[in-house]
Amino acid sequence: MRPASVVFALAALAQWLVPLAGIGQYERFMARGTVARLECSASSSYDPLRGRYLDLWLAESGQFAPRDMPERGAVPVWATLIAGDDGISRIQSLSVTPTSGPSVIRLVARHSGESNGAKRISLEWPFDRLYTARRLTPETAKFVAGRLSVGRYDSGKVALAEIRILDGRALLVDVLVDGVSIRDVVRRRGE
Amino acid sequence: MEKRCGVAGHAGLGRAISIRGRRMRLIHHRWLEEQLPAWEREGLVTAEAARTLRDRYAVEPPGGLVQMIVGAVGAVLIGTGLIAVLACNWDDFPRWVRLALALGPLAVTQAVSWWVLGRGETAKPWRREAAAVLQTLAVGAAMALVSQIYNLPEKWTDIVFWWCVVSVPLAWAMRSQAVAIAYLLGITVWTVAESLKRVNLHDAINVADVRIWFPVLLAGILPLWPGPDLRQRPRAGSRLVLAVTALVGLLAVTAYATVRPAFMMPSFRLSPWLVMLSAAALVLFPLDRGGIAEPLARKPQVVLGGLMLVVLALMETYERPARDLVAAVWPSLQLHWCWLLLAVVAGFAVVAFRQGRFAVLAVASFAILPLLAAPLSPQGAGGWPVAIAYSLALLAMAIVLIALEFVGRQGAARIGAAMIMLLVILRMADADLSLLAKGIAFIVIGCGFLAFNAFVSRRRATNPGGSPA
Repeated sequence: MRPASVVFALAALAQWLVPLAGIGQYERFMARGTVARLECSASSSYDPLRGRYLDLWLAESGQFAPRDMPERGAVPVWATLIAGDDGISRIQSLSVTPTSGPSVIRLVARHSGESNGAKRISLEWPFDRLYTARRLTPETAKFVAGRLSVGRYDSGKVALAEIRILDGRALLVDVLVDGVSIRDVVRRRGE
Repeated sequence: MEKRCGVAGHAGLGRAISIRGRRMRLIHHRWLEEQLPAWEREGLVTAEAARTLRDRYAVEPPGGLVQMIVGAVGAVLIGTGLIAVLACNWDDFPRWVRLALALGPLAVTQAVSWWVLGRGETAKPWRREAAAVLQTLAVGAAMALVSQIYNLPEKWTDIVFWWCVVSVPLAWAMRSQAVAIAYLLGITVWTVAESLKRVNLHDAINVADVRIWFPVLLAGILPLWPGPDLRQRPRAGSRLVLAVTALVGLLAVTAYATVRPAFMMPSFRLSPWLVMLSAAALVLFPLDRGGIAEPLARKPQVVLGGLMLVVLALMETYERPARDLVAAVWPSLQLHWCWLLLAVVAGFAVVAFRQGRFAVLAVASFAILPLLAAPLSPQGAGGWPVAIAYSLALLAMAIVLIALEFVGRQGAARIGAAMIMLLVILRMADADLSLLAKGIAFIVIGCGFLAFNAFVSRRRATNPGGSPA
């Protein structure tokens, strides 16, 4: 076998490994991950490589800073989630030292200001988008915005980001409106 | 053949015979090309002999920009068309169909590339280019679509990084210039994006250290240029992309390295001195004898780096920029990246000196001036000493570039004259003179520049050559 053929064969193998590793990661999360649902809002956005998506903002993103968090810059923090009676998960505790558990996620925290003398932080989640692919009609876009916008709370409808947590990492699986997948909502309205 | 035509005195017949002769040669060459694999198998000729025969009796030129462009453009159009056709129905497909559509083209293009690669030296260059580009597009599409189908939490920069890493071996194995160019553009975009993350967020969490990664990724092109035999050279267009990649990448790494607490107050600023050092490293990049002998137009790294250094040096002839430049020297010296750049510039400068490349050394010396001027500047003098030093250095360099031309070396007399003209114009614009006086001075300078240009042209026409600088 010529050297060029060997290089090509190895490259071809690597070209399969990268997407397959992503699929394997997804399947691992689905098989072994802990389910959590977080309150969220979203806006429609566009990625040049992967198309249309919902840009998520999680209600749990603003928190009080843990006591031992450094003053400046971004810091990794470990958040422990706990599900309430309503089925919605919320952050029970934040720690700057690594912790483990089925519902612990590693996040990135940054100082965002002060409230009543207490330091506040904003959290960066390992997921922030749900790809929807479908081109929304103006009516559907308006409907989705009404269900997912930050100011939707008056309607009493809650949008939830369904995630799977595994080994401190998290994967966004779906966004639910009234218990129905937003993809199904969009598909139904588009038909 | 031509002699016979001359005897016949019939130009049309001569042309016809000449064309027929070329066609016959082509047929013979093609016949030979078809026979060679069998002869190699049967042991009638060695692989080395077969290669020599193929080179000597080539069916078509072994490359060619047009072939590369035709192959690459065709591949891009087919790939883009397929993506557009699938995208309009994408949502209606179940997941397994979408996955098949994401990975299927990868399998098909890999098979096509394998077939083209199996043809060895007989594969036409445009086929190699088209197959390699299509496969590269299929790799990117597969990664992006799988990420979309499974909603994977990857950043777009992660996809670009892996796309580059798994595609560059195609440039090596299939000697694809288009894939090499795409790879260089990809690593530039990725390096700039990672640097911007750090610059904007002022932290290093989830940001790749481009001080390590950019040199490693840039070295990924070495198996193609200069290749295992150290003799492969990129074509003119590829050289330009390579030079732009190196310059933009170095600037992005400089921006990344500069983000430190000392630089964050009151706001982030790119150290102008480190920018100069990056440009100097590019200008001084070592060349072999063949490379040095090539005209300036085929050395985009010298043109780009030199242009950047001269423009920056002209800016430093003003007091305020010169003051900022001197102020940036000490904080820059705290950075490991600065010392690495200094070491690289010093090493390259030694090589350039031994090769007698005095013109590029003169241009690169602008980057060292702040290091010498900073400790010598009197306290409270502001930027004036450095600004004056830059004016004098520019003038000296212009004279050197003109003088090299007249001592039998390949100088750049016109560039030298243009620099003197620019310097005079800048100082005239500052001067407290009437508009009439400035207007007359500009006319005189313009006439002098045109006369010098005509003189150099006439001199080169009568006395071509000169040793390289």
